Amino acid sequence: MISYMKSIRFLSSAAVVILCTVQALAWDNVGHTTITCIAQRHLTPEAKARCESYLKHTIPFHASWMDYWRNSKAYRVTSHWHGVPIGADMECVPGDTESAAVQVMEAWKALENFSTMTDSLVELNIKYLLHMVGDMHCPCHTKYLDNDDLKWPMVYRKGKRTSTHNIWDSSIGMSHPRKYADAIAASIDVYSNDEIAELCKGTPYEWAHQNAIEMQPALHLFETDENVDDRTDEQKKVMRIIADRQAAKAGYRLAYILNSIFGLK
Amino acid sequence: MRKFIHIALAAALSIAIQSASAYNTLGHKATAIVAERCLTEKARSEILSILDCPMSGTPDWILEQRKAKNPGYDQKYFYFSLDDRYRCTTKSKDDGIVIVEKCVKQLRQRGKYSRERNCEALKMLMYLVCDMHSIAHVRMEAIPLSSRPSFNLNMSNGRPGKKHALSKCSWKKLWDGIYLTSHGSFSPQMYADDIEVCHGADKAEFSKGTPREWVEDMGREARPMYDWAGENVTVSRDLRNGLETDYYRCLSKGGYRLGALLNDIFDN
Repeated sequence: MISYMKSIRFLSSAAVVILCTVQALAWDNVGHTTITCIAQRHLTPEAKARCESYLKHTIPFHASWMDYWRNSKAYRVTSHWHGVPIGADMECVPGDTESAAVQVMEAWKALENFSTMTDSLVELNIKYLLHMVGDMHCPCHTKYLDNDDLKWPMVYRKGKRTSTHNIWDSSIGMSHPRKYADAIAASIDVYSNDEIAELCKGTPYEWAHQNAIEMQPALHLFETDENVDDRTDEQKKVMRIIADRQAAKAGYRLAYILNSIFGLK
Repeated sequence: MRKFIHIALAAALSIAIQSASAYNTLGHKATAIVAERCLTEKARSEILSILDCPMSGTPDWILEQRKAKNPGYDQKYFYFSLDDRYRCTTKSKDDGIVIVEKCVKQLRQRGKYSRERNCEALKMLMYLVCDMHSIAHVRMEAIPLSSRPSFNLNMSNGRPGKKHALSKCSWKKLWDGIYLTSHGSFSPQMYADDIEVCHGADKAEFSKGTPREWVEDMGREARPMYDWAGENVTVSRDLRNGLETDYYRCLSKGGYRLGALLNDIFDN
């Protein structure tokens, strides 16, 4: 009987572990895949073909490549490139190498000369862009450095105290449950050509500045220690509006960068 | 306590049902879409008239059969057995390749059978050609079953701390679950698109041969991995990431070969 109970206990814990793992992996990836799907819808055929020939996969396939490899010795240096530190003046620091905005700018500049680079270096820089253009638009990846009033609060989710960072990271999936990334992208990609052109104006530094200003409502959406499982319909709606808009902006801007590099030559 | 036991059993059963499908439903749907895109007009229309739905609409069929406990579907996994020279052994009538060849034979003589029986054979064939390309379903002489935990997986590349501890893993868990869920928001269509970008140029080469030769090819794909990752070996996240290339090659082979086989049956 004891060994029977032990097996039951083992089976139930295994079930919980496996189910949790599957869910965590899926949500981590959903926002990035959605953004690259939006970008893919706006790439010129030339840019799409060139990117795919370097990546040897579709663009969404490598959306989370930087997350999968950030623990590797070879890419550990990139582990701190995912956020955008913002100073008291609401600007990102141009020389800060631990800033997604700076690294996007670097990769973009490097790829301007892609025809003189090795294929593997072009591939690597495209992978950086696919991920970091997305990351710099994730609300909680804007890190307000010198302002105590602008700190991302801790909240409760499924009974555990967690950072709102985790909530916003999964906000696309939370706002569009049980949908595949291509379907989410289709539902978010609703901006007119004029609106898209307007959103793509500027540089990654300016986009980071704009995000720093626009993300303050996201920062205050949840109170410290609030239970996000019980969020109101209004909070759900605001979260969805912010998450969708940020994903759309990221997708359009990613397509704009890739088209400017690969689409017109 | 009784309630706890029931919940635990239900959870375990639900996992067993999910994992009883190689490549899981998403992988089966993706390979069906890839195969469907390879079909000639004649083959496509014959298949549609038999299935009464697109090929990608059928992958849950075998799970439903098992759930309903229909006779002939009580086998948990289908294995494809090979000897140490990578030759199909076909010792058992339940071996995957035996069933595949039986289905092919029936579908070539489909005029003799009812639509229902042809439909069943076609669904089984689609299911098994996909399964055959999961290395976890290749069973080689003197090598333990691939569904058993056979190596340690360290997803954190050796970082210290409790949450980065090693976990026991099997080829089945890695091949039929972890790789597909790492792109968990991909639709079957997106997988199929990716397979075309990744291996479209290899389509003709992959499609050569017969189902028996494909199993033997899969034996050659699987053997180095089985030999290399043993009981005391730790697979790092880097290695796991690197092996994904092999995984996609196998998945692509499944899709292209299924398409080629169906064209050969229905348009030849």
